[in-house]
Order: sequence, then C-alpha cells, then structure tokens
Amino acid sequence: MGKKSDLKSKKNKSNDIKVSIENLNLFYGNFWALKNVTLDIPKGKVTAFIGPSGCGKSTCLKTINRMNDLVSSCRIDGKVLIDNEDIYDPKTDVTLLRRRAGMVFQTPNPFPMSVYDNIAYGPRIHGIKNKAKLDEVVERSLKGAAIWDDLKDKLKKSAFGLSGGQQQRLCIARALAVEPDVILMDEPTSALDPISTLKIEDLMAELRKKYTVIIVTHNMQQATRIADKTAFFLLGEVIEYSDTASMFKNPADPRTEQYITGRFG
Amino acid sequence: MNMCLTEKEKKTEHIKTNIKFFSAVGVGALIVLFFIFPYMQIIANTKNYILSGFDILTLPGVEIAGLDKTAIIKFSTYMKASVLLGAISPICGILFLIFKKFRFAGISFAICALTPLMSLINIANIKNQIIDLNISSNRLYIGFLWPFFLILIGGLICSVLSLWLRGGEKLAESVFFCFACVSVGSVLFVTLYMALSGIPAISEIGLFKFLFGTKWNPSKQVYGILPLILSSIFGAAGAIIVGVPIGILAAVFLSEVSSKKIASLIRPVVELLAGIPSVIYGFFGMLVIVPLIRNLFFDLTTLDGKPIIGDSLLAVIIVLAIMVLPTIISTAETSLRAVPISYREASLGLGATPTQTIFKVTVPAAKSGILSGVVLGVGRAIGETMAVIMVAGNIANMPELLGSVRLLTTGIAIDMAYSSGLFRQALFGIGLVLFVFIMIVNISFMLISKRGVQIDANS
Repeated sequence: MGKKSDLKSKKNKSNDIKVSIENLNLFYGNFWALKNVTLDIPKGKVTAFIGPSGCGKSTCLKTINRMNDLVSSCRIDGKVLIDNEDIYDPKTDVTLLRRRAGMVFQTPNPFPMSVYDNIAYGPRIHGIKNKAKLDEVVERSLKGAAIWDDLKDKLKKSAFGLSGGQQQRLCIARALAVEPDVILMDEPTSALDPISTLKIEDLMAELRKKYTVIIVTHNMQQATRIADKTAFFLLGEVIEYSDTASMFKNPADPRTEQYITGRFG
Repeated sequence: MNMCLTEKEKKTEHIKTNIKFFSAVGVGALIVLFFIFPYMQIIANTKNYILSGFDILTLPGVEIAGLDKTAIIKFSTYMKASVLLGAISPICGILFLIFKKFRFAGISFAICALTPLMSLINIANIKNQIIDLNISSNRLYIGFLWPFFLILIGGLICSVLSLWLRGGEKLAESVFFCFACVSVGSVLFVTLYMALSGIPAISEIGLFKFLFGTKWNPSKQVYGILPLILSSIFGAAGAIIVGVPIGILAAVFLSEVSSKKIASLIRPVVELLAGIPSVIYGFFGMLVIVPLIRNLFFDLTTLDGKPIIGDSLLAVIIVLAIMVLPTIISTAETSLRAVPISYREASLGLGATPTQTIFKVTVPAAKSGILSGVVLGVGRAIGETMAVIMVAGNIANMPELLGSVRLLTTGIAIDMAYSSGLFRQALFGIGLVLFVFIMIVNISFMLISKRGVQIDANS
C-alpha cells in the first residue's frame, strides 16, 4: 500500500528523491540475498534500514555505491538510480559514484596515517595538491564531523591514537572530505560505547541538513531517534517502508510489529 | 595406611636424592682431578707432545722442534682461561651443591662442560704457529685425550644431576631452557670465534690499512680489503635495486590483483625459486648471463683497458637479484595479506581506483613487513658465496659494473684451502668484517620487524 502511493508521487516529487531502487534482485552465488527491493529514498533526510541479522539490509546499502562489486560471486538485476542516473549502467564511472556516495563502515577503519593524511587522502587521490586547499578541506571536513575542536591539535598524530568514537567521527570526516551527496552508514555505532554513539547520532541530525543519509542499524531505538524514514527488511525483502514515527506507532505488517516489539530478531 | 605409604615414599625419595647428590659431587671431583691428567696431544714431525691442563696453565708454552728451527708454541691467555675455568667451575659446582644452591651448581657444571669447546676454538691459533715452523699440516696432528671428553660429558651429567635435585618438573624446565640456550650459545660461540680469529690479523695489518687499503695482493703481503668490501656492498645494493621493485610488484600481483587460482599456481613456483641450490644459480649465471654480458659489451673495455670477459659485477648483481626475489616476494606478500580488508574498503569507498588503493594505502600499510623482507634480502645477497664465485671473476679490482670483482665471501672461499700465515689470518679478518656486516643487517631487520608488530597491535 505504502509502495503504491510512493510510486504514484514519484513523478511529482522526483526532485525530492535522491536514491531510487527499482526491482532490485541480488544473488551471492546461488543465494538470493535481495528479493525485488523497491525503495525511494528522499533527499536531505535520514533513512534507516532495520531488520534482523542476515536480512540483506547491509547488502542493500552497499548496492548504492557498488561496494558489492568487490564480492566476485555477486550478481545484480534491477536498477539503482541516484539523481535519476542508473549507477549500474556500464558507462558509469564507479570511482565518481563512490565519491558521490561516501561510506562509513561498521568498525572505525582509519588508515595507518596521521589524522591530517586520513582526511586529505580522498582529496589527494582526486587530484588536489595545493597545501592551502587541503588544509581548508581538512578543517571543513573535521568541522562537518563535529570533531575539529577535539583534533585540531592532533592533526599530525597517528589516527590509531584516537578513541573508537573519535576514530569513527574521523572516518565520517574522511567521507565528507570528498564532498559526497549521499552518506551511507553501515551500523556506524555498533562498535562504540553509548556516549560515542550519542555523539554520532547528534552528528547525523546535523548531517541531514546538507546530505542524504542512509543508515543501517541493529538498534531500533536508534532508528526512532534519528531516522525520518525507516525500511524494515526480512529475509531479503522490504516488508515495510514508511515514516519512522508511523511505522513504530502503527506497523502495517504483523511481521514488522513482531520485530519492533522484540518478538524475534 | 596412606600415611605409611607416603612415609615409605619419602624414604625412597630421600635415598634417590642422596644418590643424585653424591654422584654429582663425585663426578665433579673427578673433573677437578682431570686437571692434572693428559689433556691435549700434539704430534708434530713424528714427535709426540702431551700436555695436561695444569701444563697449559702454568707453562709459558711448549717447545716444538721444526725442520730447521725450534720454537716455543705459546698458549694464548684465552686458552689458559678456558682450561682454568674448566678446573674452577666444577669446584664451584661442588660448593654450590653442598650449600644446596642446586640451580647455581647446575650452571657451574654446564659452564665446565663448555670449557673444552672453548679451548677447541684455539686450535687454529696453535696450528698456525706450528705451521710457521715449516711443518706441513699433514705431518701435524693436534688431538684431545679422554679427560677432554670426560670434562665435556661429565660436566653435562653433573649439571643435569644437580638440576634434578630441584625436582623432576624443574629439571624438565631446565632442559627446555638448555635447548633454548643451545641456539643462543651457538651464536655467542661463533661470534667469539670470529672475533678471536679475526682480530690478530687486523691488529697486525692495522685496522685502517686493512679496511681502507685499496690493494689486495697476498703474494706481496698487501692486505687491503676495500675493493672486496665495496664490491660486496655494490653487489648487494645492485641486487636490491633490481630485485626489490620486481619483488614488490610480484607480491602486489599475488596478493591484490591476481585471481586465487593464478596466485596458487605462481606461489609454489616462487617458493621453488628459494629452494634451488645456489650453485645452480651460479651455473645459470656462468652459462647464460656471463656470455650474454660478454657478447653485449664486446666492443667496450674496462677502465684500465682490459677486455670485457663477462665475469663482472653486473653478472653478480643479476644473479643475486634473482636469488633475493623469493625472500622479498614471500615476506612482502605475507605482509600485504595481513593488511586489513577494511583499509581497502575505506579507500575504494572514497572513490580511489584499485591501483591508487594499492600504492597509497595497502603497500604503505605493509611497508614495515616489506622493508624487513628487503633487509633479509640484503643479508642473503651479502652472504651469498657459491653462485657469486662462479660469475664474479674473482679479481680484487675496485668495483666497476663490467669489470671482474672479488667479494668478501668469495675471497674467503677461494683462498682458504691453500693460504697460510698472515694471509690465512687475514681471511679470518675478512670473515669478521663479513660477520659484522651480517650482524648489522640482522639487527636492523629485528628493529624493523619489531616496529611492524607494534603497528599491527595498534590496528
């Protein structure tokens, strides 16, 4: 029901849709990991993917910047559009796509370099060599990830010396440095303590103003706290996709209700 | 009943302990006694000289008659010290036993067991002195008599017995410890040996003259090994310059680029490369690379106008470069594989191409491992002898890419068989220099790989 109304409104609101997934099927070898997934993800909002382990939510997230290309047995059928461009078109420049859709991973994965070099890595590989320009990008990105004040005196220090929460915000800053439109977050707080988690959630609320944020989370409270829209995945299918508030208040599908009330998963 | 049994057990335990104690003390006393028994035998020119430990310690030397002259063969202080130690350490061991310091007793007896080996080192010195009397080495016999072997074996037995007195489990611990010490001991033993046999020549020739003399001409008593040192360094450096890029790129191919199937085909081949005996590489160099160089550069001459014969530094470099490849490839590949996938994901996720990811993230992250592979390669290149002899030409010129060279290793290997006197000692001096080189290389390897471990621990 929700799907139909979304499709209908698509033509009118196509400007508001950032990422559009249409009839996406994905296989790992013989395993059917995503089944006919169709989602329209709005621009400038936080969208959460929830569901039990192995339901395909992370896989679905990775299709949006084609990180699943790294898995050799992975096969895809269907369309993923960003700004109405099919990113699985053979002509698509994958590196450009990944600049537009930055990714933050489950465990903080800074490079074994200084804080500065971590942030400057992206701009540098995309050809920025000017020191002043890089300094500016680093400062802007760290400010964007709300960690400039913590790190401005530690720019030359190894990123490994930071705490887990700081490392994760550093990774977010690193993603911001290449100026993406979409930020994909794959359970970004699952390896962090509650206080660091809170800081990252605050940051996401901030990021929403400039970027389209898609987050995979295990934590339903987190979804209610930060997400404007929520998609519930089960066994590779999208069971329900609607505004977060309405989904958690009046789930349309009994399976959604069972999941969010904690009866399985 | 139970108490009774333990009482009985205690008694037998007590007897056993006493047996161990008294046999250790007895054998120890025997060793001390051996000090005055015949220890060493020298047969020179059919004349027989027999020396006890006491003789070696107290006499200034032994008079040996040569063909045309008679001279006193001196015993070095080191030899005297080792014989003295062989007498004192068992006394200490017995005292420690009496005062129930079993661990120290064990160590004392172990030292005692080592002293025959220490005096063994000095044989070369005595031999050299006798050969200088114009007694050919096939008319010379230096041997050790049964006290020598009894000190060796008795010391070990006493050591084990006294450690056993601390209990069976403790003995096992000590035995493991001893075997660990064997490897450490071997290193110390070789180091000591190299130092003792190398230093006399260096001090006779003069350190500066020896290390920085540019002429190596033993027949005229000129012993400057700078050409050898430089040839060795240039050979190793050249091999590294040629081998490292090939090795690293091959490792990158194996770990990052190729499919699993192709990698599993190539990897055993690389490992096979490491297993080929070096003389085969020498063969290959001699039959393929040397003629190739000769034919490619036939119209050139060396700086001093000699024709290019093919045996050259260049040939050495090429052969060594091939030989260091497996070391570099396998260490580099292992460390590249150890780089977490998450670094690569992060880099690709930022829009880097796979090539950028390899050279900007993966290789830098693995650099300490790669570097330690390079250092191991340097060690192999400097120490390599056989393959190099066959392609170097072995003339002690200052190194020149297309000219014949003599390296530290080849210098020793070729001349050792027939040299004598100062010449022979100078070869030991070269050995010492080579040894120092290898030690420096290995210590830097250890420092680098330690740093690598620290980085991994942090990630």
